[in-house]
Amino acid sequence: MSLRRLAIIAMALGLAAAPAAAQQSGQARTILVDEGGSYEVLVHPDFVTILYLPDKVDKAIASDVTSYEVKAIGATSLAIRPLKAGAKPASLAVATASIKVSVVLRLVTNRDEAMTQVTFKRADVEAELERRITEQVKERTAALEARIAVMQQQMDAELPKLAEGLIAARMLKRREVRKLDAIERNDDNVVVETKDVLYLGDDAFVTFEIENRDKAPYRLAAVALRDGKLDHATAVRFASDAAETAGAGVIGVVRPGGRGQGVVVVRRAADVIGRKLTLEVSQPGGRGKVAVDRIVLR
Amino acid sequence: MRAPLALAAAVVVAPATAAADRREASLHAHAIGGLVTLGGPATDDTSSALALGVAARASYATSNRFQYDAQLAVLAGSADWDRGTFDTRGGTVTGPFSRGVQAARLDAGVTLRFGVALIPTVRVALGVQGVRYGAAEVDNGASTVTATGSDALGLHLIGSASAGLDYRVNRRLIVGAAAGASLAVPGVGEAWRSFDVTLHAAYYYYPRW
Repeated sequence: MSLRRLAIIAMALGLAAAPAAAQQSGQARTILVDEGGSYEVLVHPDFVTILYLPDKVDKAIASDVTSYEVKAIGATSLAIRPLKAGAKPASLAVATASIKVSVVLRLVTNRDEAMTQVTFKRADVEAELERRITEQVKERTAALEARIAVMQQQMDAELPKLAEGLIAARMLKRREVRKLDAIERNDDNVVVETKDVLYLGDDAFVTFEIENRDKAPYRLAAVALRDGKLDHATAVRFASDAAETAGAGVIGVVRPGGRGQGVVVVRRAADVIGRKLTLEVSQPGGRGKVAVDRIVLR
Repeated sequence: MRAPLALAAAVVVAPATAAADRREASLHAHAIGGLVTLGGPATDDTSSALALGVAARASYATSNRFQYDAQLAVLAGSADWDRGTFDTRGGTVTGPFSRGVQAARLDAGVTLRFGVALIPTVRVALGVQGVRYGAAEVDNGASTVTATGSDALGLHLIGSASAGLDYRVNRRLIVGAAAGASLAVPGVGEAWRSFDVTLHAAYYYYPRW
């Protein structure tokens, strides 16, 4: 293809379609090309703009060589520099083995708008690359998921054994149940009573019961076992015969006229032995709070 | 008297929906007003009198069905009799007479409670009652003279029953009213029957023994 034909092609491309602005913001842009196209590149006399092509540049023809200097940098790059401050827009036709593009060079006065690096990539190659990456990610993800599933199965099998072993070890250290008799109610006729404490190893499990004598369900949202302001409850479990399932932020529900049982776990119970603790239970937003005080673990 | 007792017995036997507050203790203050029909020394007749009094009660519930309680009540009133013969400083006088009556009763009972916030109650109790009969004021036709040596003490074994309605204001305070009757066991002291109405306020709490 002669230089003249390239120039004609470039001009035709420039006329046929409005030049597409290069993608991305900032001074570096990447342009995906489907074999050919016209693209606007904003240049400034203070900067040299580098065009990166996907393969070796066969031809590069500028329509106005007096206003723009175009030089090859290596086999796949072109450097463009405006020579005049008031240069008019010009076109640069570039042909490589895989793409043919018309670059419309437009001078801008604002330095921030000028592009210093423009990378042309073949859209189909990029798409293929992305497809391969996606495929590989899928493969890797599937493999990882399979491994995780195997690990999960192993954990499901091992965790009960681990828990049983821990419980057995703790039972050998200490296992003792002691009665608790703290009880209190709120103004809504919800009564909370501590029943007993199970010492298992270093930990203590305080059991309590909520008797809801109100006409509305009691939705348990928070349980704390406080020594002053410090909450020693590390885990809480609660069960009742309520048909209503616990929603978000709710530990359990006690139906009107019903009862529910709970357990508060206290790690390192030795830290609170002999202290006067307060069991606090409440509904969402702190409503219906019941504070059972003077609970002493011995 | 039979009806409240029968009702109380029925409630105890039947699968009750009672909802007292297990492990709750309470301290009550009562104001009492009632009509007392009583006999007295120096006469075989009975008389009726309006009586006012106060009472203090302490209770403890071991079950959600009922609470045990003990109560100390004092009542005072004045009763009139149609006729009696008394010694006075001026000699023997016969005529209508009146005398002040003060009673102090200590009883123990059980209160059945049938609610949570609004609490119908039924109480039955048995106790002892001491009655002080003041000196007779005898109307001799011209004036009223005080009989000498006519004041006396009496002792009753007394049973009572009442039904009422309580309202729980908050976790600590319950107020209520009740109407009841009491009857002295015949043959132990003078005759005594009373019908009374009480208003009360009670402080409820969970004691730690």
